[in-house]
Amino acid sequence: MFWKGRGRTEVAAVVVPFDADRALVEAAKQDPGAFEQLYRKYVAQIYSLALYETRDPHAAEDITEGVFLKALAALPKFREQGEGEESTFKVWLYAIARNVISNQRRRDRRHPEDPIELALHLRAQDDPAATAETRLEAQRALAAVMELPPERRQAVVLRFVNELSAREIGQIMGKSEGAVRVLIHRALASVRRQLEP
Amino acid sequence: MTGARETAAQLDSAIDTLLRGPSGPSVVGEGGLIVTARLLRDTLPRFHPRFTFEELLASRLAVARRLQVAPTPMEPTPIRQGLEAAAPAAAVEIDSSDAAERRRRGLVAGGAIASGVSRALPIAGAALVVWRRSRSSGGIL
Repeated sequence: MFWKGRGRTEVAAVVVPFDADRALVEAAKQDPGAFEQLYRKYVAQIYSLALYETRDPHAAEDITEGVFLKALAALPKFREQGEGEESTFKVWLYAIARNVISNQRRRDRRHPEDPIELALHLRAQDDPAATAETRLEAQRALAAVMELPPERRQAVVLRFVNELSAREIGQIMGKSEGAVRVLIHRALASVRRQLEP
Repeated sequence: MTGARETAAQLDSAIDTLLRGPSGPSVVGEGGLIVTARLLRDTLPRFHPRFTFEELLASRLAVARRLQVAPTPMEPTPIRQGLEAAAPAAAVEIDSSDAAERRRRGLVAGGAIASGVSRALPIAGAALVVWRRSRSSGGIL
């Protein structure tokens, strides 16, 4: 999303990038009630990431809860540093999520639990033939992604599910943009190998 | 730029185009990887928390905001424990109003990923996927 700046007449259509979160973050700092808009915007994204990482809906809910409570508590300290359309709030929130997920993993290692039987029920609303094919395709792709090493899997989920850019993923994972691109390239190569008959 | 990084950058650029496009552009190069990328784009489901969880967390955040002191995260009594006490079944609620879901991929509400995904992803679930045929404009989720 872009604002078209009011440049001088001789400057044609100066495009000033606009970060959609910036106004919401500032509003939430002034009025904590406004935080709900940020919460509604990102709750599914954070939950989705947590579920991919934990494969456990209960753990994903705990993580989601932890992320937003932490974000709310830390919001007054948050400083928007982003330029362009990429929101540093989004990156900041995902970084919190990654941290909470990591803590959860450490805790789980200390207190290992029995594997929880999870389920994925794919039901399509469209014609049955396409549904069966699509379902199988989705299952195989998902299985291949879940078999990736954690870092590659996380990069793939952030890229294809959460649709973050390589730059944003790099900021979240503490890597360069180039390193993330290589990570995703290798992850896709692994997935492709997995999907080969 | 090294060869690997250059190749990865080209692929990333193609992925950007894929993620922007409604049905996938005619991206060239990296052949099979583009096909794989398109497959992931189209099939990896997005998950949405249970509606009841989302609303309870919203309420809890509202209380925390009013107190201006957020409770310690990851407390031993997270929201979902209360939810399970109230509704222990694998209740699944669907936010079917998600107009922002942009393409033909799964949106799983209260979803779960099968633990046996590495083998066969046994379908035995309780979540519901709403497949969307086409992209519409809107946010990420």
